[in-house]
Amino acid sequence: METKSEIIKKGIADLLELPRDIVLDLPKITLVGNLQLYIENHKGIIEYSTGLIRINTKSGILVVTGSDLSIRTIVIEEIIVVGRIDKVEFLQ
Amino acid sequence: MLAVRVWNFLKGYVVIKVEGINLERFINLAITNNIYFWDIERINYTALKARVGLKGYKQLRRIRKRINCRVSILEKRGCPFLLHRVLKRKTLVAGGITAVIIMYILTSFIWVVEVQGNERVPADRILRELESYGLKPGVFKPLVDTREVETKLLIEMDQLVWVGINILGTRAVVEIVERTEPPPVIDKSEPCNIVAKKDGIISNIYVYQGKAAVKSGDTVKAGQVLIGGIVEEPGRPTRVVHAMGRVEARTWYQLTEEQDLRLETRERTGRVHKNASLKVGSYTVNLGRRDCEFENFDIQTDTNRLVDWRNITLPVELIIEKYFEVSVEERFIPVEEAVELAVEKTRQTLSAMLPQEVEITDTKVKYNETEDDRIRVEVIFETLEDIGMEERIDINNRED
Repeated sequence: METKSEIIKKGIADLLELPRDIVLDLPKITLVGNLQLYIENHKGIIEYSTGLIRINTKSGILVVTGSDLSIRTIVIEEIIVVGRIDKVEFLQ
Repeated sequence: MLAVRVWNFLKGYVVIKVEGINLERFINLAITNNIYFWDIERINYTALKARVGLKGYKQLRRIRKRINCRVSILEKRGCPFLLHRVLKRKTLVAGGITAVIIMYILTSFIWVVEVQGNERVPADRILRELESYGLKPGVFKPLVDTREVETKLLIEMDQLVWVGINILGTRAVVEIVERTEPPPVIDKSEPCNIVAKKDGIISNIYVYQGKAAVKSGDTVKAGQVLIGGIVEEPGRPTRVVHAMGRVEARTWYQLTEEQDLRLETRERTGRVHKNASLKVGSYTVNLGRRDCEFENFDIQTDTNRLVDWRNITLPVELIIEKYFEVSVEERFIPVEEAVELAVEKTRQTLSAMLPQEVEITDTKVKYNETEDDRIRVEVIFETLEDIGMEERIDINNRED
């Protein structure tokens, strides 16, 4: 699955102790209690309803389930989801 | 977040409803086109509600063409819309503008003239004078040349030494300083007596004109005639003259002073604690974190205004307090030293009270200790001074 360039990148990141989310273009996800989910570096929204949100990222599809979900902010780099969050999972 | 909301409110935004299938694609397209959305809520499978700025809303049109969806405005919010709504009510706007203009016009008049610093000259008189130079309630501010009015008032009224006119808003504050008039000098041609200003014992009396009524060694009371202006000599007609002379008398002044036997000396140790606080209007915000831990200290307060340009001052002040630690030493001084200190103090009070040429000839000191480490000192000063004062003789009312 991983290409050669990715393996090299990972090695450099480990060697120089660079943050992986920047070097490898990975999402950075911050969860505040079960109230707010903050996703940096996403690749677009796939599905959105009040109970389920699916967001595309480099690490796969991020599935957020819960109730009363709404998108507080959405820009090209980040998404803030608020509501009652029950589950956050990655689907490969 | 509050700042963002305020910003959005100022810029104005619309609440939109988007209807269609595959709204996720709509969102993705919008964000890749740099359209900023916020507070996105799903209503049902085919509709969602979101907020978007005015510029963003215009850009949405392009996306709408590419995706089959319908965008409708639910609400318009923010400053631009409010302003638009208010501006539609023309009378209200006109009223507001008129009110501001009237306020501005009214503040360019002087409505109150205040006189400060007068004691003997009645304020009414000054106000009347000012009115004749054009400074009165209801006058247009630029028409009043304060410097000119000041000069004119000074020339016109001899009783004044200094006049300052400040226009503060709609108030004109006229500050005056009155001339302290010398005691009235009776003209040499007018008859007068020399009388005693205060009680005393005459020590020397020099008569230049008139007739001595007392001799040295006499005790006199205030108001008593010392040199008479009516000269009656047997065999000659009675003459009424302008009495002149110098009457030196011994007078006494009694002063009391209390003195602590415990003296405190404060010396700075060199340790300083600084505390900054910000004062906005009447609110004070403390910026320092810890309190001063010194037991004894002197405080020095520096106030820094944010803007100090002409008369414009913002009600924001930065206050820096410096606490200098001091070591306090207490020591007891001997009674003799305390008495000396007290006498020196009374001497200073006395010299402030008396004219300069008065000579202190003798000092008597009595003291007693009170319970709480204090002494009470009573000082009697004997002085030699001229107690003579001219007093006019009213010839017409005289009985004999």
